Amino acid sequence: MDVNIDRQLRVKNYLEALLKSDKQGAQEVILSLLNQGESVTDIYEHIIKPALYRVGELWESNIITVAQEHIATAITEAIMNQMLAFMITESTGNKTILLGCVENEYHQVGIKMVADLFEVQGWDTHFLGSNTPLNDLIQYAKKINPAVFALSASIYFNLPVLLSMIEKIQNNFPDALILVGGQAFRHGGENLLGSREKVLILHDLYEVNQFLTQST
Amino acid sequence: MDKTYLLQTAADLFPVRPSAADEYKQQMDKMIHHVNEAFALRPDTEALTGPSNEQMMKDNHQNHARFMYSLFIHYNPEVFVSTVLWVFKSYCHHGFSSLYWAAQLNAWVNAIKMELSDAACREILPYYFWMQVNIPIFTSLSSGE
Repeated sequence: MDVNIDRQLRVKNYLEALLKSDKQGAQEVILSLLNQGESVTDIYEHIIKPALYRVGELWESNIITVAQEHIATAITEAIMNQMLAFMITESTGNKTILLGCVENEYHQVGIKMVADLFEVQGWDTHFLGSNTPLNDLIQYAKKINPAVFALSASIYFNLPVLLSMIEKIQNNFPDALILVGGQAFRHGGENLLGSREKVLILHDLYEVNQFLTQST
Repeated sequence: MDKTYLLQTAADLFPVRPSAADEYKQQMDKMIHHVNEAFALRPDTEALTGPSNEQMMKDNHQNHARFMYSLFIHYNPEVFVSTVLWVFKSYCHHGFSSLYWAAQLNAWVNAIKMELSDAACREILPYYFWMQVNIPIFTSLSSGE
């Protein structure tokens, strides 16, 4: 079967399982892909991401409720954690990254995918999740002194918040690299960033992997 | 009139200066409060928003302010038009009447006039007038007519 058609079918099956709150069914879709040798990156980009986008569209159309949207996300995050348990490597202790969503941003699955890829590559990974207050993030970062920060913004109007966070992080950690990404950058958000030093936009997980390869 | 018309006319709006954008940000919470209060005092709010949508309405008012501020600091007409269309479509699907938008934008105009300086109003209100004037087009396009 053509790989794209196969993927579309898997997305459909995964989505159907999510909408039925069928955690086992969703797990089976993902496990079968892992057993076939599909990479985590491909599963995240081509199966989970489109399925969750579709969940969002269904909420927008009032076909599913907020509760259904939340359970779909919760099932997905649980499955992502299970996948990681099989692939995680021991931290090399050499490189530390701190990841999270900007303040008032609650869409954390994307940045969690990024965190997982770093963790699989042996980075000391600190994933703070959604809506971490900036001052708390800075205080936490002072304890672990990350070489890299990764921030996610899914919604366009959170871009000004991201800019403030970048400024404060750079004031406190001038040598750190800041990776940014998320759906907020789809429509011209990159122009808002301008040409800031030590800030890199990563558009998808393949670019994250490219960064990881270049960082070794 | 279609999306192209919206994009063309949106592109004609003058960029807002940082001072006006900053004023909008500083007064955001007060303006959101005024808009929420305006709807609390209306007898027809439920008819405008649909049943059990009070929190969604308040969330919209907050998101509206944050979105408009993000536009003022970096104006992108395509983002403006696409987002307003998406909002019309999504909220309509959740039971909001097309009449809600006129009421909401009127409330915003009043709140802006109450809290912002004349100078900031002159720069910011054209965006609201543009949205008000184009409500019929947004309604039509978002309903797929």
